[in-house]
Amino acid sequence: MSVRICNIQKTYNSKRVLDIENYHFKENYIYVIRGKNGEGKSTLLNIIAGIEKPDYGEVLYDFKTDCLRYDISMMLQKPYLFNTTVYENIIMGLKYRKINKNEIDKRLKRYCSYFKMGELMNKNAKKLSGGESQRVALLRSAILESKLMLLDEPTSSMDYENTLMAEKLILDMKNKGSTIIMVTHDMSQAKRIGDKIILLEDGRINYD
Amino acid sequence: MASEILPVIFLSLIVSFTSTFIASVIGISAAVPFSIKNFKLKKYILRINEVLMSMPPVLMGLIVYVVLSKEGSLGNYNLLFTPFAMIIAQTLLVMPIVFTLTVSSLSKVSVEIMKNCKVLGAGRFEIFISIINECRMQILSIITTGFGRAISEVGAVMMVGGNIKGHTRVMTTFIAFETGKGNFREAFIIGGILLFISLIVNTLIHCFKGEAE
Amino acid sequence: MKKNLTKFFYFSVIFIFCLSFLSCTSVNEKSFILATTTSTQDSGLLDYILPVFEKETGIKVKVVAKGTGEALEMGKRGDADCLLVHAKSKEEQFVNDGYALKRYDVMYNDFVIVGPKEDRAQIKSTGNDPLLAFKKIYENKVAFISRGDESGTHTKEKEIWKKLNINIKGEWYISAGTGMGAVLKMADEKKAYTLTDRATYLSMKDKISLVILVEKNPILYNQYGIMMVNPKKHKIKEKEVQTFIDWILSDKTQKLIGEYGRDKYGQSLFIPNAKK
Repeated sequence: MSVRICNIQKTYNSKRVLDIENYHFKENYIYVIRGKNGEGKSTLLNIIAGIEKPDYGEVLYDFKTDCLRYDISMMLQKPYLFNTTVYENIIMGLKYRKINKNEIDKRLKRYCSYFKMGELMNKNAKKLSGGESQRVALLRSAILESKLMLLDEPTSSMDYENTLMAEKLILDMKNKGSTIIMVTHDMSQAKRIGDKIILLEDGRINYD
Repeated sequence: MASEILPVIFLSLIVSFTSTFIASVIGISAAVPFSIKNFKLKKYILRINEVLMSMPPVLMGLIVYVVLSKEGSLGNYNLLFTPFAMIIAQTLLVMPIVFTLTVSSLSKVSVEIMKNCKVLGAGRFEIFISIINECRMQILSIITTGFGRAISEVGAVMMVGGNIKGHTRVMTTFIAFETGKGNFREAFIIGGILLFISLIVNTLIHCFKGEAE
Repeated sequence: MKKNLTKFFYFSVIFIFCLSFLSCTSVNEKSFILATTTSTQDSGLLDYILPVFEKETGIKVKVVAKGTGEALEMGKRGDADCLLVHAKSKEEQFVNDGYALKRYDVMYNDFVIVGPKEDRAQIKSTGNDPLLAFKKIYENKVAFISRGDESGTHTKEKEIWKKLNINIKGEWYISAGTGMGAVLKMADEKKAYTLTDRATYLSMKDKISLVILVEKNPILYNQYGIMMVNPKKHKIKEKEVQTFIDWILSDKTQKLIGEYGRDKYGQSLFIPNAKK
């Protein structure tokens, strides 16, 4: 899915955090957004995901103003895991989509193999460490196989090994046809997987 | 003795359960979206509910009495001095409690949960269910608080129920009535049962809490 | 385990809800609301005679016991169908104002002045003269508890003060604002005097140490009347109430009223005097 941003403005406490005239995210690319803290990276992702409203402007998905909510999935910067087992957390989005048990099992097998999840599956998600939580949050977004995936610092608390596996997962998602927009502070990671790297400065997009 | 006391206990439980149930359904259904959305009057609605929360039951009794009385606006339905009237009064007493407490205990997490549900593709109803499910323990203890208020309340049910034997006599009005007659023994027996019921309810809640962990 | 408990919880909630609905909707039986004074209920008279009526006619009497003032107010608003109260002058006013069509005498009991055994005001020596007794209470400034709730008893008490032309004010005069039973209990605790109906006093005699000091004087006569709320003013249960009034005025019921309390207290608490 392609995403076009038209004249988006967002102000927090009289500070303008976003002011983008026009930008087009092409289909089936991995975009990596970089920038200093508080430059509006998360806000941009939230606006694309539709959980925040811009003060002005609009977002077009495949040139339309609205899209099916099932077409987008997102991993928030501080993901909230539900007070139930890891397993239930991972299949939460699939349940919303009323996907049958067979397909759920198939996808679980496919995606959980990226990380060593075996023992974790039946643990309460509230009792996970930071890195474990991020793996669960990444998995529950990826397993939806949505056309557009938004990732807000998906690997910030992961160790090196898991970070590499997460990157492999993201690349595989792209190969399946998803468009991915992610935020990261890790320059080398951006270079490893990003097709395009964007620098967000003073609320404006600058190419790297 | 037992034949006189049992219906009283039974009615007490039914009236308080029903009113807590109705108040919880309405109060929580309103509180969940209320805790997510931001709008101009929000602060004032919350303030009003906080005031209603500490409303004296007798005042609520008086208001319900006047409304249900033959000369009141709902007089034609003959509801005064029936269990229905008591349920109405208690529901109105419990609702602001459930609403205010739910809003204040959800306000921190509900937006967070809502965002996470939404980006996984949840619809409005699924978000609503998720928020309640995530905060079930807080909500359960809020409902218990509401029930405690309902079952221990005497002023409003005395006024709108009339303490009619075998019809609207509940535990609290029974205690007031027997004390008035000087029958402290009977009053104490019912008082003990009242305490026992709150003990059971609290134990149940702890059971749920224990299982949730 | 958890699922079972949760299931049980939901099940019981639904079950109780259904039950409550049933219990509330099944009140379509024949019934009416009788507003009466605390004295008839606290003395146990109604518990004694009403089951007989309910058995005979199948009509359920819902008794709401309040002070006479409040009971009359309920009648005015149409919240009660029938009134059984004891403040004759107020009742006649009530009929004159058109809130009821007719008032019938049912029975009477008498008021007594009770107080602590020591009798500091020496009212026992008045030879059962309530006027003199009240005067002595006033002059000695001994504690006196008034119902203070516009009930029939309170009305009677105010009548006596009025006859004496005494302005009742001061620390000795305590206006309680509750039922007769509670006032007797309070008077017992505070070793105070009070005016009470004999029925309530006798039914509580074992629990308090107050004694009768003045009694059996025409001034202390306490007539109960029954009235149907004017069916033209409010939609009331006319048929049921008429059945009840006919029943309570009948010879059989009058005899029943006269019998109440004899076995327990050795004397009648209420003396029936319905006019034929």
